[in-house]
Amino acid sequence: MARLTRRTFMKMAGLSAAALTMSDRLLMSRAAAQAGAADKEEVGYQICDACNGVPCCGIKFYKTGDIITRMEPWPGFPTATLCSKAYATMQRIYHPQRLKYPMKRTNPKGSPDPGFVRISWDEAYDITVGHMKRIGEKYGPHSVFFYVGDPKEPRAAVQRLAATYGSVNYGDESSVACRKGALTAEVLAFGYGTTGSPPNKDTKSLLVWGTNPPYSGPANDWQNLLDAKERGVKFIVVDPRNTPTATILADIHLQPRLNTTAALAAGMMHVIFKEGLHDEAFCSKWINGIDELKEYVKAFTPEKTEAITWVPAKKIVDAARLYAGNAPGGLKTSPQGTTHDLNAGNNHRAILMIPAICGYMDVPGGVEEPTNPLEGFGGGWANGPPAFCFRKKMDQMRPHRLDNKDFPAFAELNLDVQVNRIVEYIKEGKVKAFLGWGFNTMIWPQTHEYQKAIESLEFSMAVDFFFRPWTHNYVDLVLPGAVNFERIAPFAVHGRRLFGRTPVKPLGECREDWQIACEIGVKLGHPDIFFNGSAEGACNEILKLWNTSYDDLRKNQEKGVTVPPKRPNTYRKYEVGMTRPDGKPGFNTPSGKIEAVSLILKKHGLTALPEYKEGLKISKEYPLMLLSGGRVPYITHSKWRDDAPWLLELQPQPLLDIHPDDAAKRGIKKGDDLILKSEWGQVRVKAKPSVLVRPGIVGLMHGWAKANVNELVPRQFDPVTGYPPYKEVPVQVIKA
Amino acid sequence: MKKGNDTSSTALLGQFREAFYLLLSRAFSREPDQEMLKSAEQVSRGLLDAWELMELPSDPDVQAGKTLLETFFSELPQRNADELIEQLARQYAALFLGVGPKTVSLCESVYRSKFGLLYQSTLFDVQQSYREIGMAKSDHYREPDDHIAVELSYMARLCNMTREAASAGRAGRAQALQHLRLQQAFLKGHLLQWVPRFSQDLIVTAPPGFYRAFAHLLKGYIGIDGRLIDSMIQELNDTPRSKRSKKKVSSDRPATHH
Repeated sequence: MARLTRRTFMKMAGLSAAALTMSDRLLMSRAAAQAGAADKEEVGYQICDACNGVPCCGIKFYKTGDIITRMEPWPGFPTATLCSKAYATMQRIYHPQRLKYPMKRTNPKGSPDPGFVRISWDEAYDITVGHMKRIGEKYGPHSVFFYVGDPKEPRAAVQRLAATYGSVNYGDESSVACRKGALTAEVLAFGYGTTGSPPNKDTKSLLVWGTNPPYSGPANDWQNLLDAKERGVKFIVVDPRNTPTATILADIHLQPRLNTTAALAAGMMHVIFKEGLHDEAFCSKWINGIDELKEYVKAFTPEKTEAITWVPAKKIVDAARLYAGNAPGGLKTSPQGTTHDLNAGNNHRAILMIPAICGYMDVPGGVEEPTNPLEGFGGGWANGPPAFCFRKKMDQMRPHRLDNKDFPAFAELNLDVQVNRIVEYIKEGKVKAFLGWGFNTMIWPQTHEYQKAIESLEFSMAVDFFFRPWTHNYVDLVLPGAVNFERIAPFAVHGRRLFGRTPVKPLGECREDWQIACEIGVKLGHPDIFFNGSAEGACNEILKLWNTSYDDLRKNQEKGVTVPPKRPNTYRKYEVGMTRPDGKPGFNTPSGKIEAVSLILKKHGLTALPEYKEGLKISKEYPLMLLSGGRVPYITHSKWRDDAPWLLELQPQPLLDIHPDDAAKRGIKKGDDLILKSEWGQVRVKAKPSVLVRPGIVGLMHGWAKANVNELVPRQFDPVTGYPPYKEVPVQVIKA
Repeated sequence: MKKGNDTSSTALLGQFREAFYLLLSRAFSREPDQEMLKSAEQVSRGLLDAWELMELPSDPDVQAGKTLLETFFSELPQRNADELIEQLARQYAALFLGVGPKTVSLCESVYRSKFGLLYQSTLFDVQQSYREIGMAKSDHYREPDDHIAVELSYMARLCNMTREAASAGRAGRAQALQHLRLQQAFLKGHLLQWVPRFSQDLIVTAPPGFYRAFAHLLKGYIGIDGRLIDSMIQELNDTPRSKRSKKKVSSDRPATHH
């Protein structure tokens, strides 16, 4: 078809050679590429990071070369009933929008287009470390803020980096909104953290407060509750929503108005004390401020409690009798659901007093505490092993914490700094740089204020799986993180069982979080402390605590390595000095007792009893209360949106749960476009009339970039935990 | 016929096609640098002139690409070289590396798998095609085997192997035919299965300029290359049977770096 002439030939001469100089030599002979026959299928083992450190369900996968082709539950792994989220991690790893190379902005902050371009890792580290050194010298190392969002996996490595660099200002999503609020309340009350223990053969009743495991917990957790129900355990479920946990398990379901937790708990305790259903011997010996507590709850008659909480008085009485009359009773609380209001700390402390006055603490079938927590692990990956994370050095630097003045109780009890007032800290010039692993500005109330604050920093860096404009448009560098299948660190820990991971080669130039933290440490001049940048080296440093190594984990890949317990399981450990680090009997609180009157809160001038306090009030203009963050099974977190379209199919757009009565009053029908607004902001959503919520409450899942519910939430904070009122904002709903 | 001095239409077309594939491959393999732009200008002008000289059928996409490229290169002398390179790097990142409002994937799996993911089964097929000619994707290139730049590179490699075989005279003719058939199979089995959609996505997404130009050129060229291969096969087949080599074609001949 081509007509060929001498002229054509002349034209072509040299073109081939010129074209060849352009070649990137993408193909090589197989010998040079060291490739043999077609790759055979092999197996590998990984953990799912969808729900983070807990439960980190086990995945067994099959790969050809470095390409994962299928997956199934890891046989024998403690948590391996894989749900949709775990399967969707396969969609995430091969998502066409995966961030695969370090990116640097080329347009100034504030430009509509940040103009990101690809750079090398060397350049990324040179920029990062250059700024860290410059800012450290000019303003002091505490002006560099280290932050870990989601996944929570890199916390230990980033804490080690912060400590080595010399900044005490490390925070995470737990210290913004998740676990540390409830944990603070638990430590104030008991001296240790607990969300209760799974019901067992000795359990007779269970108080489930503000949590809905079938939507947000691991599958085996829900199965465990169903089994308990079959055994005849009595369930009291407290949840403003009409959840499956309530409808399937509850003997009594209490649906309180939002932010009335402490009043409802006081109402239940009123009945328990009045009817003598409490454990007087335990109370008088082990509860600090028991008389003040008894006195305080006297006012919370069932009728008064009903008026505050909207829970019928009879149900309050019945619930108190059912729980206290079926001993021992267990407890199951949310890691955070009960702490998203302006009385968060005391609301949660009030819940904890109920099993305490019943004497259910650390008795068989009650609120059990493990006898043999893994030595030196320090509460798991949520905090990181203290020795590895240089906790002593961090403790010495405590006077430099940014949150000391704003949230003194939180600051005293937590390693992680309360981050929610970082806007002010940046404005005041106390923070100049921000290094964030998996951070999401949408976690914060009035998100736009945090975006502006981050943007105004002298330097900021983010590690992530994807480019997320609502966060990354405001930073200088974005580094590509390896996803769960591509990580070796951290290894999985279940009780005293340890399991290794077998990573595949990361896509593009992605690197795992631990490696990035370690490599920054090396570039700062600490190759020994950061294992020459090796994530496995860092893991081995921790595994030394239990005389094992990653090689051992590999040798025992499927069944893992068990660290033998040091003593047989026992109960009422507080009686024999097994609860306090000093070995004395009692709880690890200032008084040595469970503290109804908190000496720490008292010291800081905060309300010492777990008192009820009215928060934000509804009005004619904003007559409904917003409960944000309720979930859809099995999407769970704000991180799962476009990353895994399979999960997005479960709810492809922001839907507002609104009770059919409230919808009818406003002429709202399913699928209508709505405006949801508060005094502080508004978003557009679609209507989903549902009995999941009670009248007077509307619910919206968080984390929608196109309908960021946190723009409706004010920047007001509970003085104990520092948490914002995600679950008590007065709102109005109108048709768009 | 001596190697390197082959003026037959097969050889010439082979040269033309190899250069076209190399140009297109480099356009998408990574961000341009100064040297690349210089070569790209020379090679694209030469190829598009040759297109007319050879009286290849006119194609609206090739024409659109040509017009866009002429504009792009004509403006080069007025542009600050470093700024231009940075602007193209920004465009590459925004279009292909996941930091723009809409990402256009450069990989076949995304266009051909049910859920639009990377590293799906077509990638294994592509690997197999490379393996059959003794090649594999270089480990230095961190993109998947079915990345457009690698697939185009494979076609360029086969063009080169075809030319080499053909220039070996009668003995290499059967082998040249075999290489052409592999190209035809890969074009039909892979490139034509997704590149038209990919190019169209890029045409719609890229601003007028370098990448939109190459999207048009790629789309137009892929659309016509099957006929170019056919004409080469026909020419080789038209050679008197007695002159053809009876030697069996080996598919695992030693390969050289490309």
